[in-house]
Amino acid sequence: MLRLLAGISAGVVACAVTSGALTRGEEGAASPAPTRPLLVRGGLPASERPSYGGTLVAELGELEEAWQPRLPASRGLDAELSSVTSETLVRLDERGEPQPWLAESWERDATMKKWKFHLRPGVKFHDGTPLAPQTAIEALHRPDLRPTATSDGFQVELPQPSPTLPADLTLRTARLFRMVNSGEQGTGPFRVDTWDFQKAGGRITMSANAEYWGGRPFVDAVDVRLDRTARDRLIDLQVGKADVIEIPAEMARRASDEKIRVESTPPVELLMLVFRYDSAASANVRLREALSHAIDRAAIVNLVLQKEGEAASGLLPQWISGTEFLHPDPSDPAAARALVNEIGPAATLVLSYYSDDELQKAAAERIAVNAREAGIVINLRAIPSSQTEKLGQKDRTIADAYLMRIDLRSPLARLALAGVLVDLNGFIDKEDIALDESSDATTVYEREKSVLESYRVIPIAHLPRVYGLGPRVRNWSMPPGAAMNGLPLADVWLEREAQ
Amino acid sequence: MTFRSRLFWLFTFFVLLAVGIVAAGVTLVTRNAFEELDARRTDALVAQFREEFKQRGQEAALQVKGIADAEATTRMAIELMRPNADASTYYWDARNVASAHQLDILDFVATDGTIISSAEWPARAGYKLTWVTNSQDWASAGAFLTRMETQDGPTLGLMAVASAVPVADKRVYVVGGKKLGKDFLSTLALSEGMRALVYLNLDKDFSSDALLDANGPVQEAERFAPLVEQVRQAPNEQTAGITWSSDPASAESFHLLPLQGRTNELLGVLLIGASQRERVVVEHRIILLAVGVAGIGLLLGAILSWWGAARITQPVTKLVYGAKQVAAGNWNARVDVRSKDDIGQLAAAFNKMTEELVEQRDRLVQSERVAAWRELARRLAHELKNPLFPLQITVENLRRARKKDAEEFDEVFDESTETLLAEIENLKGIIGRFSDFARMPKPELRPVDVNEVVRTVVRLFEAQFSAVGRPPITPELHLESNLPAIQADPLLLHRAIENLVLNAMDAMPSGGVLALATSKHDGIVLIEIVDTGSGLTPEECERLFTPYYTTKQHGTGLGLAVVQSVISDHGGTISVESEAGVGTTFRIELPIKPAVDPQRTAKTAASAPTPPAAPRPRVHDAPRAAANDAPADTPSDGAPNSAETMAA
Repeated sequence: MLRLLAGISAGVVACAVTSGALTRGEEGAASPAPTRPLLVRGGLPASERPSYGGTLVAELGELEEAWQPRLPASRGLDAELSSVTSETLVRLDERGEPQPWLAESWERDATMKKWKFHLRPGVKFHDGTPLAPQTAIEALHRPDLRPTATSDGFQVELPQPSPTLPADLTLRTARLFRMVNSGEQGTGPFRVDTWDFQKAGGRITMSANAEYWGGRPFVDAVDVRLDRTARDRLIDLQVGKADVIEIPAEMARRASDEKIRVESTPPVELLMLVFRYDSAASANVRLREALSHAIDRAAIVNLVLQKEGEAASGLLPQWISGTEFLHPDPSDPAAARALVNEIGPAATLVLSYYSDDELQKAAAERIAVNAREAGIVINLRAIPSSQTEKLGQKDRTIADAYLMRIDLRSPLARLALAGVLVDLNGFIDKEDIALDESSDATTVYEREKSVLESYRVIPIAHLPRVYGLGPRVRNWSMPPGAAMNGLPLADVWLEREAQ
Repeated sequence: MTFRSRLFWLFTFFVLLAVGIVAAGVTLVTRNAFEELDARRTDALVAQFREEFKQRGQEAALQVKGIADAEATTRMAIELMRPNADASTYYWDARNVASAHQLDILDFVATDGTIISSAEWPARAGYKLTWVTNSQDWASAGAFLTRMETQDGPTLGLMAVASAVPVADKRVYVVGGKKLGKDFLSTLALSEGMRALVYLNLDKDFSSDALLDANGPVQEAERFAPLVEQVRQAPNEQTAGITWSSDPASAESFHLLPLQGRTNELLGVLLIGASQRERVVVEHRIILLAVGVAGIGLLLGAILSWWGAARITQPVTKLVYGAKQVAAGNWNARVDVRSKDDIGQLAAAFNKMTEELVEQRDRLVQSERVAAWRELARRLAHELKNPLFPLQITVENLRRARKKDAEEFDEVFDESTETLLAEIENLKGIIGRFSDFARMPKPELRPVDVNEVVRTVVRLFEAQFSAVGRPPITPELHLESNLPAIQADPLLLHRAIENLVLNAMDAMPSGGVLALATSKHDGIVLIEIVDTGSGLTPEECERLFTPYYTTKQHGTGLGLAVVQSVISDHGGTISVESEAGVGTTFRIELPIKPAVDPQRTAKTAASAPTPPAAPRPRVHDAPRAAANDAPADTPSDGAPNSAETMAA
């Protein structure tokens, strides 16, 4: 077992042999050894020694758009799960630096147009197919890169310089998987056995991949349920029916009060208010600005989110962009009232939100109260998320603004903002969406500022992802930089006595 | 209107009257019963509402008190008193506690009125609820109705306020209660056809969304605006009604109960509606039943009236028919009525009357016939006696002359035989006139110009009108031009007019004016002969056309009888009007086309074995004093004007 060959420290040690990319000059990167926990013999109590076996029961958020293993994942929860079944060529480490994963190393030429990736040897898909150059090209599903096979990998030749191509390949849209008999076959530590989210509301069973190139996971299987409400998940965790649950941010505090082990990621989600582009009621930028000033973000974080999150003045949180502090806190009720008085009587705004998202509902209600205090009338309109697929254009145009939650897909500011802007396609100007690979931090900041100053998007809060862990779960580790790498299920073991 | 029709309409009237009175009475009683029932049900529902209101209020007060006294609330009060207290910890507490206590509304409020946590509107946390802090004596306030602001808009809440244990003279208020909305209404037990609504928003303008029933917003809520306004103007219990459509069954009556708050401010209106459909349907059915009964009654009335009329009016009809028969001269008419009631007795009396009339008529005819024969015998005797006496004298003279010499005898014999022959001729004449009357010739009809006949007659008598030795008579003709020709026998018509002219001349011995006029009227031709003679008495007019009746010393009494016979044979009529001192007018009406078969009439007249009873002429009622003689009876001196002459 590869796992047994890895170094150890107390308990579980994340053996990131490579701390950052080992580059060969400007052209390449050395391949790090995969991080694997190892069993430690002697010196540790039995309860802290890694052990194999058991089925980990995970209850995650209820999503209508359930993860389809056969499709490229794009949403947070999808990424959480898909990361354990399929992997990317490159992965970000805890510092947010691209590190070799399925690609053992890579190199580029001086123009940064030609890139060559060397595949990690010994990697197999779940169906036993080795990760060969041609297989990798097919499994990448990125014809836009126009990859060509090499002896130990493939190379791509781009029309424009792409200095951040390895980082781009960390996104889940770049994961490798093969379609076999209509089923997705990845290279991850777990393979999907069944999924029936469409019938039973969402349930996935996965088993450990014994041939995993990084070593067999500790748990034998993972049972994922997606059909439990937040309250039910808490109860299940407390009574031992679940080992890992996803907790809505607004309930994290209560969970802590109830002595539940709570693990939070840095803010990886943006709660924002978006105006419909063709809404006449919200056409006045001064009104949108007034509303932005009227919203008491601190109160939303303190009361609604129970302090689990951060008031947002920018689209990206400070830990990703590093520039959020440059955006002034827009919350200013007095300024809002002054603007409303200046505008005069304004039309009633209709704010829409997903009714089954308690956070959105509570935030929308608070926003309505804030707005009313400033003299802006907001009518709330709940849209059942179960009907979102059925909503036609007419239904969508009923609202003047929407309360939205979007995932920040990467800890890299450019990629994160690009993802946000893609999600805002249709709500902001097209030139604001464009963000090419050559954009530096200043460009990202300027683009973000441009979007904010249009007041077509009003950031409210940045939310973390919160997990509750059962008493038998060991070695749960989600460092900030790896917060978007998915659930660390491969490293988790279950305490034997509690099994 | 016939008796049958009267009977039908009378019967119908009484049937409709009876049915109408019964239907109106039943409808009135039904309506009163329904109104009384509605009133009882409404009172019961109002009482139920009040009881439910009171009970819910007590429950809310107890629950709020329990929450305020709970240890968790006390801990909250203590925690909030600490420096840098974090109130956000309690943000969701109100919702959880409210859910556990099944309260719709629950707020934790700090001493300064700041909302710590709100179940019905969590987003209001941090804002003020100042009215809670205005009173310090919530313990005695109990439950009350008040207006609460929620994120869905204002609503009425059955609320109670309690204070947690004061900590350092600071309090945490617990404000809780239940919404007075559709859930509250759904707990009321409603009878069939009743419903309860509540109007919650008492803003100045009526809001349709604020009117709820147990299922939520009410359709056509704007129709209730006048009712709400009515209570707003006078906040006391009232009744009003709404008719939802042109259908009376859609009517609904409402009992309006004002909902008032702690200071008697008007906060809402409870509307308890009772559908009038059931009552209207029952009334409708009653009316339908009444119409049906009336229809059956009318049908029955028609049948009964027909039957009754048949029973009652048939004998009467028979009596009427019999009377008409009698009036038409059929005195043998009988009424066949077998009943023994009044109508039967009347019919029997009628039959007896007609029998007696026939008997009396027969006796009268017989007596008239005898009288006529006697008159005829008297006339014959009188006519025959006059020539017989000279014959007797002449024969006796002849006997005495045989004793004289032959020459003298011969002279006497010649004179006697001449006398005998003359008298015998006279007898033959008398016999001939009677014979002519008995054998009136039948008219031979052909188109006749009446005016021409009249002119001919007048020309015939022109010489006599102005004859020497007698006062002149002035003839005047008033003949209508374009008079149509009539079907008549010109000779008989000439003879009849001639007789009347002669009669008129005899009536004017002192002269005068004789006017003859013709005219056309409705299918007849009218001939009028008017003299200015001394006139006739009514009695004379009555018998004027009776054969052998005459007022003249030497008349036969056949002249006017002949005229009447001729006119009758032509299907016409003759009448006379006379006035003493003024004159006499004869009017002849002849059909342009005779309806009567003159041959049959002639045959009937000819076959009469005995002198017929004189048909009664049409005599006007004007007083008549003239005593004109029948001119035909009296041959004038040398004038060819006697009836006898014409008859010959």
